[in-house]
Amino acid sequence: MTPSCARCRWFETARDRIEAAVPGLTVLGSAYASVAGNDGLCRARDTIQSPRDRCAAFDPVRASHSAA
Amino acid sequence: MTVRGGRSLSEDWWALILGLAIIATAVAACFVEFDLTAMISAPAVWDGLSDGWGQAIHDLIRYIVLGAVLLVFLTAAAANIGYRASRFAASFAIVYMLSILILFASAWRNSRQLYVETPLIALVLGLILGNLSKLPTWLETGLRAEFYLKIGVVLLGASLPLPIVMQAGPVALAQASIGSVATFATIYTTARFLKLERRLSALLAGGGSICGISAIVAIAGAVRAKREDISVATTMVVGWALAMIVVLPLLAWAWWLPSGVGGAWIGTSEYADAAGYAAAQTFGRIAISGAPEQSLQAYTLVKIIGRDVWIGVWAAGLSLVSLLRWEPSETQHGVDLSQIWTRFPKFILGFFLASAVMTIASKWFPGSNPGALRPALLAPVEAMRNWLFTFSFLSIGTSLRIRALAPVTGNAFVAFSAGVAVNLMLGYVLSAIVFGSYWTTLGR
Repeated sequence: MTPSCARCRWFETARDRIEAAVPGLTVLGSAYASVAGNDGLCRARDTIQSPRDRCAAFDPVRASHSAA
Repeated sequence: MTVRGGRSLSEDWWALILGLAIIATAVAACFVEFDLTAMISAPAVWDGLSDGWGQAIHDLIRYIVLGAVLLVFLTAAAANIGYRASRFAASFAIVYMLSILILFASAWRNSRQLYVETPLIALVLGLILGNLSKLPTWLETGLRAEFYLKIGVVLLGASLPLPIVMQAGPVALAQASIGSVATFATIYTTARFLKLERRLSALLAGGGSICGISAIVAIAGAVRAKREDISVATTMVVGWALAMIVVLPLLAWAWWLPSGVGGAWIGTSEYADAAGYAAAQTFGRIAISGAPEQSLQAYTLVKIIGRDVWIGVWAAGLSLVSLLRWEPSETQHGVDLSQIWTRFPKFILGFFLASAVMTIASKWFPGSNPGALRPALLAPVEAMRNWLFTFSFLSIGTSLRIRALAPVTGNAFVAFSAGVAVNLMLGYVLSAIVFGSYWTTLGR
């Protein structure tokens, strides 16, 4: 398994949660827009990451997380 | 197409689809000589409560039908984009009803005489609702300022004949590029001089020079920005963009700029599409010389063609800098050049297609002036655009919770404001002096 953000349990891709995490984002912007690409919010580092990124905090998504 | 999980399309693609569907409906209605404008026009100017009330009662069925049609199509799109459909539908119904009130308020003769425009009324009402009352959470689902705005931008393309777009494109691109690069460099170097972290510096620079929060969103992923830095940059853009809605038209008016010149200046110096639209529309009405529509046309050309389309290129460039200079050990993969297309604001394709469709359709109908867009074809599209921008401005005001915005440090404010000052001066020089004669005669 490639240890990338896309497969990490800390990687948040739900657009509504990303918008809720950044106050004011929806005033003149949107996390559902094309400009956001496939980026997600890393809940371990509190940064926006590309799904292809990887780091030492990688923790793979487990089956229960995948199902959820 | 940008596909997010399953078969869903991004907000941009849906804006393109819905915008072109509205234009196709307008063309079809014109072809069969059906008066679509009567179905979707905003309230006419009224004077006195009995006049306004009588008009509201007369048009009640029409408003219900229009609201129902919009509710169905927008909710279908919302469900596919990923918003919660039932919440969106309930929320949109409220947005629509409030928008009717807003359009009535702006159609009051006294509002017209005082140049109190629809966007301003929608913003103020939204700010009051969002900040002085506790709104239910479900209501936020339909407050999609960007979604409504993007459909409106596609419809803006319908108002610009393709020859003007093609002819003005290089000038708009040159002007916007000079402004964007100079402003980015000013904010970034000032921020670094003031010891701000380089990612925050890049977010502030992108937000102040390219296209506001959309640029911040794109750059955040490219440079792996911290969430708190995104919040700070967002606060700066929102604050300045809303202030400029009032400041830019007043400055352009005070300096007696022609309509097209002021519009080009607003296109160079505003940060957000919606805020710039409001400023350009207002300036078109108060400009001392030139046709009112020149302001909006010049603004659209500079902002959309000159600045917005390049967002993916900026993101890829900053991604490269991040990879080579900032944090090579953490990303551990090459620059993804596909993001130039992935992050490209797809609704802008709709803008160009709308322009092409309306230009070609205008030639089909007998009696059209060569090179001009047929009014009967354009009127319903412009009426629909008016509704969509009203939804957008109401959403902006209501979404803006002043107390929820992240606090800004003095250094971030100074760095961003330095860029604002340079951008304003450069935008004026480019619009009024370097390309002044061009923007003055735009479309003539």
